[in-house]
Amino acid sequence: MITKALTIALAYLQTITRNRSFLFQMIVIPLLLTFIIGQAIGGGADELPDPNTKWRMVIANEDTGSLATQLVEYLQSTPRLEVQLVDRAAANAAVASADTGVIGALIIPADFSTKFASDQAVTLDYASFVASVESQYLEQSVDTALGQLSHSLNAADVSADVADELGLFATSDNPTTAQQTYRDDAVERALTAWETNPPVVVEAEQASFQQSDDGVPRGLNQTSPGLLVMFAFFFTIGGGSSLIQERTIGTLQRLMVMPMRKSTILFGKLLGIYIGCLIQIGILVLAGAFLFNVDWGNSPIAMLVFIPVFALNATSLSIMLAALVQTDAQLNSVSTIVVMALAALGGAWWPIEIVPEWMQQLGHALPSAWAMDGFNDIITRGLGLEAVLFEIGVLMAFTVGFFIIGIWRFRYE
Amino acid sequence: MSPIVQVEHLGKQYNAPNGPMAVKDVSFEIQKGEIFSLLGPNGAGKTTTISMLSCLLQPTSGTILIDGHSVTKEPKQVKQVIGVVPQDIALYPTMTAQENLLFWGKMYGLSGKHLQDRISKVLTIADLADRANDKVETFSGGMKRRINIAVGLLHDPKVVYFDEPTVGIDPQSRRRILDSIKQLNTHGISVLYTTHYMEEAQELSHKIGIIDHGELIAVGSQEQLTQLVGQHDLVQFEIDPTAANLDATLSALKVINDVDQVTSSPEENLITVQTRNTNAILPQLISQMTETGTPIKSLTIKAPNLESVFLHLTGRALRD
Ligand SMILES: Nc1ncnc2c1ncn2[C@@H]1O[C@H](COP(=O)(O)OP(=O)(O)OP(=O)(O)O)[C@@H](O)[C@H]1O
Ligand SMILES: [Mg+2]
Repeated sequence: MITKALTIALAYLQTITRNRSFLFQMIVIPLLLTFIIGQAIGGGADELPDPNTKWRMVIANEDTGSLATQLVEYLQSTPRLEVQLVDRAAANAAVASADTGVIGALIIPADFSTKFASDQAVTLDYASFVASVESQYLEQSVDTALGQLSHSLNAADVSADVADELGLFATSDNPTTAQQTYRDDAVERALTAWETNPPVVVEAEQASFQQSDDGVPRGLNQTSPGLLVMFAFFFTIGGGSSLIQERTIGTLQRLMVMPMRKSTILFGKLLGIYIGCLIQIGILVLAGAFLFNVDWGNSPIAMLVFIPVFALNATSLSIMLAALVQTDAQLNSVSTIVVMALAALGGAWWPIEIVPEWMQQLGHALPSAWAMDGFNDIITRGLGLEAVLFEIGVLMAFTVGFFIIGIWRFRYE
Repeated sequence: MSPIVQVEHLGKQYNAPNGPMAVKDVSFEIQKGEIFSLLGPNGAGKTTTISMLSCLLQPTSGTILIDGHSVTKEPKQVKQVIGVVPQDIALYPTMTAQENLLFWGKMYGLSGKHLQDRISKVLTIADLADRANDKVETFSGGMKRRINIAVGLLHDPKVVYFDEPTVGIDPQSRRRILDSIKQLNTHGISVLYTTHYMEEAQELSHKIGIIDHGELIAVGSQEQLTQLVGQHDLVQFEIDPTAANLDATLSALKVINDVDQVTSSPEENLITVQTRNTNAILPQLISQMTETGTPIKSLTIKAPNLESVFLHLTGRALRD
């Protein structure tokens, strides 16, 4: 049974390798779109520096407080940053032209430590000559450093409050000073703890290169998985249409007069579509990465698990659609509408985060939104396998449902 | 010796319970080594019958035994015994003839050297060994039909069903197909052949079943069937397509003494008269035609044949 199913699968793959226009639509077009979009949003290969170069950043620190010093230290220890301390004027001058080679300048105002510690709004000036990937990275590094700082501070606050409630400061001559000292001490300890044993999440975020701080995918982060999802559906539905064509030309009936079960035939065809879809996605991912420097996140394992789950979902959709329509022509017209709807509502064309709430919910009635959620977790948010387990579960549920409908409703004659 | 194909009271209703009965109470047997033809017009139920004999369609009623195995209960054994050549060309057009045969051979469970041997054997039968590595889509209609047949022969079946294998091809290819079927038959392979060409049934078959509107209206050897008609000749007039008043002509012919049946096939510009007294009424036929304004281009007199049998049994021409 397996041998025959495999033979059917390979025969299908053989026929698609001979179908030039199909290959062109399924592989070349999405890559072409990746290239065009990459050019349009400036994510091209030559703009990306080699990972070992350091980016220069100047900091004008006008604050003498310990938090400001800590912030500077964080930035100094950030990989890829080469930090230089200057005064405000020099900092502004450094980013006034591209010639200085300085990517960004940060100005820490004198009241930073005080305001930051007491939870007041404080403005840090970050400036760069042009908006670029590097400057974005610098900006994020500052954000990350601030995040760490405030985590430490919160921990210290809680600790100081607890000490206060216990009445530790009341006995002192100068309770306010004592509290302040205790607090500073707690901050110090929290910061040290942070340095020696920072939370994993922050580390992952730092490693993610094009990560955007709000978790909303941008640029190629958005379009690459979007194109992948859309064209994978096109591919598998093309497979469903070939199944209907086989019924029309009679090869399906011919298979049925041969000594094997109907289930073997269908399994073989679906296996062919599935393998083909995996190959298609593999090509899109690798070509995207090597030709256009598309970033596919930090977790190859997550991708290696998520892609097969998604491809299976796309395969199940193909048999369901093939079962629900009568003719190949119907499938062709339906497939365009279906894939467009899946792509648009599922967040393959634009981030689902930017559409109204009701549309997001509508999108999540479709597998494409869950697929995009998973890819965004892996790619944009730099997360690993555990982060997409829920999406995997939902996609599998869709897959089982689609397969049940498809296999139950498919007509062999 | 038990028959290779045994069909009893076979019936098929599409879209039961309200659908049409495409096959009604059909019974026949095919002996081993026999060529049996199902002769009938379009929509007679030939393909439906073959589909049921191939385990493709579940019969609504009746039983089918192939080489002693029930089609419904032992489809696996049946499928090993039968070779099916479908009416449509069921091949992968972008694959070569060789690749198609390799694929279908594997689907029959063949492999290795045996499969290679069978492929060269059927390519020889199809007379296409020299085109084995060309894609099927580059073949002529006749060549496609021959590969279509070759696939059905791959696993060396005991009985082969041919469903109208000569439709829409050139006379040369048709000749080759008919010859190769006879050739196969001399090697002991039984054949079930469906057609709406009387000449093919006549040339090939040991036995013929005439099927119309799902009913098998007569079965027998060619001699047995023509005896049904008695000594009735067919007089066929080829007429001018511009004939002014065909209906008047037909009514005029019908009232002549000793005329049994009059039919016309306007597409072929033919008027066919069935009579048991050709010589006596021929002058009358000709004069009536001329008088009613239908010029005759040619005229043929045919001794009783399958066409007259069909006409006799149904009152209609086989091709209408
Ligand atoms: N799948 C189907 N559903 C409903 N009716 C059908 C189906 N297939 C065939 N029929 C009907 O059954 C009757 C017999 O059809 P069948 O195809 O068996 O005829 P045939 O003798 O093979 O004709 P042809 O010479 O045109 O191939 C026809 O009236 C046809 O319309
Ligand atoms: Mg037919």
